Amino acid sequence: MRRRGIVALVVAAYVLALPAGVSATRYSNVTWFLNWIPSGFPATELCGQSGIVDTARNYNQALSKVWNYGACGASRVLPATFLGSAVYGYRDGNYCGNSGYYYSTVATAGWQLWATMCSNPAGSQSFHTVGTSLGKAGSGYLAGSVTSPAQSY
Amino acid sequence: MSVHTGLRQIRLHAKAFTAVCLAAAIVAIMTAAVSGATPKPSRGPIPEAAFRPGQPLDMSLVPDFVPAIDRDGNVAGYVPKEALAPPPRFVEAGQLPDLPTPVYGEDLRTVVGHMVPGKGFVPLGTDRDSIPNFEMSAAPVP
Repeated sequence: MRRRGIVALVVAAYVLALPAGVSATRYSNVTWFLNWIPSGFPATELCGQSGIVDTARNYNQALSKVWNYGACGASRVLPATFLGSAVYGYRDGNYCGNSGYYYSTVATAGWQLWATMCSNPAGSQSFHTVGTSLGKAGSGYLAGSVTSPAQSY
Repeated sequence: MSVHTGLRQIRLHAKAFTAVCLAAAIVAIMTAAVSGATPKPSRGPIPEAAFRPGQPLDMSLVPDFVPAIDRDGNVAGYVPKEALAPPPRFVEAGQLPDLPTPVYGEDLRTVVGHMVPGKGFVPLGTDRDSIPNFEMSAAPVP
């Protein structure tokens, strides 16, 4: 009986400890980059957010917002190709690679990208994403870049 | 002393002076090379302080060359910091920095492969199509 109790305690401790150590996601704040006038639309804010998503996935979203004096507020839907996202991945300060640019394929106010670029061997590693958000402007794109907080697994 | 002897001595002095100047120049060049007149580029992982959440990467803290790791997590070589800089505020379509970046070996000069967008490290001489893409997905914000 006593032995069963000890085993139950060990199992419970393991189960309780598991989510804290293995499962975690961290994002930067939604960050304002600039305002611009997309072709055919009124003044718009370009915002973005990067993060590390379970497990060790690099994340970025480019967001188009109604012009609001340099703040990221109400969403503005823009046509396909008007937004773009890219992520650069880092593990313990080493460079794992980048995703390349992904452009919105549908009308949307936000274009998200996930890429798993860094391996995650046993032990604890610190991961970062540097995300780039793009907003179409005439013959090119305006860009903003934001770094995620560190997330360890 | 005859005129000829005088001229000969002047020529000898001129030759000696030239030789001394050449020797001095060679010594100066060698000293500069040994003492490292050109600063050695820095290398190493990006320090934590350069990753400023909610802001761009602080390029002033990024070493000149950053270790590039392959899919197994081994250091494959080094990429120049310029390859990690955020894009400029405006870029013409088709001119976004979306090209493979050279990866240099320990001497920071010999190209050992490339970091290919969407794939990561591709060793020199390897067909990039033989390297699988990163696991990636994109979607609109719901």
